[in-house]
Amino acid sequence: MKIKSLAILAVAAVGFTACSDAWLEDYKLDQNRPSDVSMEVLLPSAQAAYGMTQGDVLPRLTSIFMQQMTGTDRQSLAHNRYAQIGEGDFNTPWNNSYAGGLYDLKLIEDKAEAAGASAYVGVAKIMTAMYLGVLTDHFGDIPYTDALQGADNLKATFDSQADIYTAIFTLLSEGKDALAQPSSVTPGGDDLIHGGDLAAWAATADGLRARHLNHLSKTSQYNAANVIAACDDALNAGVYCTIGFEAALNQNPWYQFTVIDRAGYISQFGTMYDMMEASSDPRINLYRSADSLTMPAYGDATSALPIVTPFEIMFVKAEAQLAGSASDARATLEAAIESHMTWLGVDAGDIATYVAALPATTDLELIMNEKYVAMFSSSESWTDWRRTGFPTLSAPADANLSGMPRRMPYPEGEYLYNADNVPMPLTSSPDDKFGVTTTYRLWWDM
Amino acid sequence: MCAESAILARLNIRLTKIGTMKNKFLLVWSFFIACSVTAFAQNEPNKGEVPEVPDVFEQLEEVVVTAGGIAREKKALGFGVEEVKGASIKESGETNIVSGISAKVSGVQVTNSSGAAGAASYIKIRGNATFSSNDNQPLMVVDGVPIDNSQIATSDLRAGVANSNRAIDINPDDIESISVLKGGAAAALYGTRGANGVILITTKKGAYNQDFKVNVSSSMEISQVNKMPEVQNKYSQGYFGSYAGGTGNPFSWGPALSDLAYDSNGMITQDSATVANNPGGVSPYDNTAFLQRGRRMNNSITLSGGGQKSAYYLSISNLQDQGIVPLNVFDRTTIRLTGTGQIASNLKATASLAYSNSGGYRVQQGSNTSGLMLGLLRTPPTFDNSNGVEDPTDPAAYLNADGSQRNYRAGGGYDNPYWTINMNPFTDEVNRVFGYTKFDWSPADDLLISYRYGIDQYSDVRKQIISINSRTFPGGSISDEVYSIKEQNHDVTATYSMDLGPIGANFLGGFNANQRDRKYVGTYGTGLVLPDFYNMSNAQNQQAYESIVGRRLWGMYAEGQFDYEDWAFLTLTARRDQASTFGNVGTPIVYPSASLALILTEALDIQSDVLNYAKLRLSSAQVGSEPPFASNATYFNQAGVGSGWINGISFPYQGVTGFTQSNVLGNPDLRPEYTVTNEVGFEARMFGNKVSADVTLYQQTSEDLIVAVPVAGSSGFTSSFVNAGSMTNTGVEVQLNAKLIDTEDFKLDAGMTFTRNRNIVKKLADGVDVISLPWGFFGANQRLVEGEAYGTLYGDDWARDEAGNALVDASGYPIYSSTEVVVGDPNPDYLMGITSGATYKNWSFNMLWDIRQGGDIWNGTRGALYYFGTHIDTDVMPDGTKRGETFVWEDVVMGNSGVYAPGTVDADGNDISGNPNTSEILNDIDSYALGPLSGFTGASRPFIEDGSWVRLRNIGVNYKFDPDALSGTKLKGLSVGVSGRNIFLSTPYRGVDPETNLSGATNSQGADYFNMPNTMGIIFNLKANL
Repeated sequence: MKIKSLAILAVAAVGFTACSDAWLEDYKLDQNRPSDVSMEVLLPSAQAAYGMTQGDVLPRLTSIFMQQMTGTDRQSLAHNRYAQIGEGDFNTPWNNSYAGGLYDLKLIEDKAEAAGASAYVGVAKIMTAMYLGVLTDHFGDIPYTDALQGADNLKATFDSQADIYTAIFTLLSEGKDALAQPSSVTPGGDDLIHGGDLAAWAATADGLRARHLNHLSKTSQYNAANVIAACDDALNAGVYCTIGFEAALNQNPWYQFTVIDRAGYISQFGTMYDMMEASSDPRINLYRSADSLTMPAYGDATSALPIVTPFEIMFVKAEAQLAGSASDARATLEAAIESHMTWLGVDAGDIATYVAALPATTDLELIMNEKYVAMFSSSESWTDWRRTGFPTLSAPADANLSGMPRRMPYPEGEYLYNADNVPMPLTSSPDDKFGVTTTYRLWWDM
Repeated sequence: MCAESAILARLNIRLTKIGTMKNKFLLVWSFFIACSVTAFAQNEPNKGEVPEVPDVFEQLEEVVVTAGGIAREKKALGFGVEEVKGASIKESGETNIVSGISAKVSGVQVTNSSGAAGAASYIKIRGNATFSSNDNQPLMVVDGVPIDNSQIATSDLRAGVANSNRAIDINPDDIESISVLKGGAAAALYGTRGANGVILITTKKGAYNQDFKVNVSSSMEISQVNKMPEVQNKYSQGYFGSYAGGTGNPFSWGPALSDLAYDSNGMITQDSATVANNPGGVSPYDNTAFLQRGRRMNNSITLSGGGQKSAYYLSISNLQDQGIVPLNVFDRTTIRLTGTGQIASNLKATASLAYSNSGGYRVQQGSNTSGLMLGLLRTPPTFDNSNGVEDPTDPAAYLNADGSQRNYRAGGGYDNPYWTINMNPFTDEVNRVFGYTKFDWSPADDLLISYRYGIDQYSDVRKQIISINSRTFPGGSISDEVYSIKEQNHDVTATYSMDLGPIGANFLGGFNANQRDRKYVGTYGTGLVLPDFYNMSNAQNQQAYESIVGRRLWGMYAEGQFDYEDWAFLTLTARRDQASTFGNVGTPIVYPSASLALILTEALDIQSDVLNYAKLRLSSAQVGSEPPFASNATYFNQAGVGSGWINGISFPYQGVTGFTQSNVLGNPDLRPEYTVTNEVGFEARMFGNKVSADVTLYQQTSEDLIVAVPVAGSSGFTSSFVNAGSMTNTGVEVQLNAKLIDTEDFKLDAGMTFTRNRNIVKKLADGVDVISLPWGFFGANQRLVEGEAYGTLYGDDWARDEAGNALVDASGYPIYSSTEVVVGDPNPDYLMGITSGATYKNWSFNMLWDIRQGGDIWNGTRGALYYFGTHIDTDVMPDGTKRGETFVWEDVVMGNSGVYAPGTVDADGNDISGNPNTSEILNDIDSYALGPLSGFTGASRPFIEDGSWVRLRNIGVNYKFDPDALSGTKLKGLSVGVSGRNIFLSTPYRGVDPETNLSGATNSQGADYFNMPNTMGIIFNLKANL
């Protein structure tokens, strides 16, 4: 009897264990969320995240640094004097980029390579370059080759900014090449930036190349001819890259900040407006409302966020041309101003009046001062100032730093969870963290 | 009901074949002790189907239900198990069986979240064993089948309504007994589901050869609020000497009522001529009169009986509970049918089916501008919320002629309580089926094989309406939700016993397949167009939600029980679990346990009149806690990009759908959390078994606690689930019982339970300094921090010197510090229950005192009422300072311009760093609404209060008619009784009953922000047997 009993138990045990793993696996996955998704839903997500990276926290700070607007309440008030800006403030743009857009772009690229969708490969590479450009111009050395490895490497090393720039140019050129290849599928409505227009993406790649070649103006790598050539490529291809927003929800980030969520934190006055008033700039009422609290042209609910524009590339070209011929530069400068004003809808007569009243001497200061006005709302103004020193600005008397910020502190998340790899000690002085000292200035700003 | 336990016990004894038990033992079923000791609430006379047991306390061999629903001799257990009888649960008068356990079992803490009809009760055994926010309540098992006891919240738990925990669906009349498996060893067979202990509920059943019995039970309770925050009734709406009745002015810092008068229209006025002509002032309105008498009716009938080969039990019950808030009701109807039959001489089949229909009409509460107490307590004494009407549903109280809301702030501010009960109804209906089928097959004398399938399934259909013009959502909203919860269990067990001379051995092996499914669909509509029409078609914007959560668990378990010479008992168990929530479902986790019981009096052959029985228990066990759902893989989420500054972008965006890889990295190596319990217990019976004591010491260490650990964003993720944390619980449990008088006619006994548990969070995870529990406020929130107890209260405080004295500024006000520091510990120092029972002839009497020492509560209500000027302290402060008089803020150091710097001297060389403050401040709006002394304007620390209490949870008297007196009637038994529930409460707490909790049955304990008050009641009951 005992043997029989044990036999019954043993048979039961074997019978029941046999199928348990499969039975459990059936319930392992969360049915509320997909375990995998297609490129078509990842692309708009990566693009929206880019819109926020380029348009949310970073340009608000740099616009205040550049005195293109002024903090008038709460934290923004302190930002005028570079105070109350800490590592914690940069987690959002950093994580939106790495854990958001860049990771999704990596997935798109992998999926597109596998599916022979070279159009998606191209777009993903160009957008990756776009992200890296924004990040490196704010933070300097950043993780790239070692990043986005998930559980395989939770502590990514940082690549030098020089290497990041090399990567940007490689990505742009590979991306543009991929766009030219036959593609099994091509983006369409899922491409919120260019609506699947691959030629427009190629032009955007050229524009980004021009911008970043020009960023090297203080380095030995700078070559004006190459910049001009890239500008011509972009302009000839009709470069124009923006991302749009909606009226009721998902409005332009400047609108969300100045109208919905943080009204009064920032007001529209400062050095740039002083310059515009002095030159009777016809754009001033498009830049700011009568109460100086909102931004009619750049910060309406549905205002598109400029990513790469023909007028930017014309300013870049003018700057490069100045090294060779002042007259070429002058013509390009005027074209750039006209292009920008036309884009804003300024009356042709007003444009002519304004251009006619420009100072006669075409020098770097003139070009950069005009670009400073035209690149309003973008962090490019800060990059331009760091490269050229124009417009002439100085830190406020009560500034928290001994000079104006020339880089952003690394985000808190990297210091807390990847501290060994961050190329600047957490204990660095605020001046170091903001690049005021040369110790931790960006590579292209040395 | 006695018979079924007898069968269980006999079955067990037959199976275990403990031959060495000789003939000297007599089985005394624990509830039978309860019968004879309290002789209360017994509605069935002894029919003689079990042996009439003389008072044989000295040879007591209690049988208790243990893991798997197996009845075992209590003396053979090497771990602590406590049992509560069904009669005792019934006696409590509580709707919810969880509340019925309050103060009766050591090691157990029960919190009733409020006195609202249908409100949830929270139960915790031996402290917290996991960081997860809602998983610290014990597993609840009915007749061996796990059931769902969740509290599903529709809204933020700080607001919304008081939802029920689903144990409320059980009819207390159906309960035979509740076994509380407290420690790891007791719960070891439950493996991954055992870390928080187990509540084993055994329902009543019929017995073979039992005469047909009908039990009728009827009770009615009249209840009322037991404690309210005190409000002032001397000062009017307004401020700075101006009466502002009928305006948007939120304050009651206006003129004294004695300085106002009624004008010719009966309106209150400050007009000096009118006041001069009509001296005597105006009368305050008592807005708390809004609360009514509650009424709870509970009727049940049970039928049971049995033949030679079958037995049955059928019960039907109905509860109608009308709360103390008008319109608040909770109703429950239950049916339970359990039948047992002998298919063959060695094959028994049991089937049980219980159906319940429950639901109610619930009222908005808490931190919610539609919250009932929020509107009620902020109302100045010069505004009559009721507008003079008697009927709480009369719109004249809350509706103006133009359809707008009538409230004290002219339509702004907060909902008039009459508005919120009428216009913001929340209704829910639960239909629940619980049932099981069980076959017991005994192919050989020493082998029993059982199979059981159990299912617990319910749907919860809810509708929450916020009417147009409600303050919480002036546009109006509708929320329609359906929850469908299903849990199924298959269990196969085999029991085999052998007898090896002095050693007896008994083996158990089993399998458990468990599946839990939760589905939810909800529609939320906003922007209502038509008033008083609450179909979703009336909403301009609609959003739909759905969620599906499924879990499967596969377990195998084995137990070996060994006894030697009837004085040493060793139990070894092991459970092997695999679950769909484990990182690798193919990798089993094994939970072992060992427990030893030594009957010292037998082992050492102690024969003493003083020490009749002594037993030592030792046990060590490991049990687990399941990982959170879907944390073992990485998913894609609907895309959305936020920032701390703006709303950002959510999808669909520009008309397209977007998905993004989740920022939370799933962990494919995730293991369940585990808790190791080491326990020592000692039991003794003394003085002719008149006194018994049971002391348990335990140490629980919970390891591998799962934490969402942040990772560097450059990895592509921002956090990952990791087995990282650890936490300990250390405690003492004591039970004492004494038979003080024990004569034929008069019996008196007393008992006590004592519970002390210390929880310490040992480790969170690298990079994690704090885990905040949900439902906190800035200034008062519950956190997990290394070295502190679970849920420690953090809040803002005054700036202080090194000695801890508050610093004041030059104007005499304490200086606010926004840094949140530890302000309190909501975990009590100890809990105590004291019972007493007496019988004299046909009379019986019982009493249950419930004592809690310590346990801090944030009285956010008081903090807010200081601001508004309605709190009693704004009339007369505890130190006697009246409104308008000055006082000096206590416990302060006058700093130099408010900055404390030791050694600071003024121009004359006087040390001004630490001088006592002498600046007088005013008991008026200057200090409270403008100064920092209210909860809104200053620190929360002054509003942390001691939540200790002494309460008379139950007191009752019962009369049982002599059977002789019933001769000639069809009645075989009749008893009537009256009892009081919660009728005495002594507490230093200065708000509602400190037993309430804002967020209900959650781990975030110790918050009071306009909590619904608790109740007390008088219960009349009648029981009859046919």
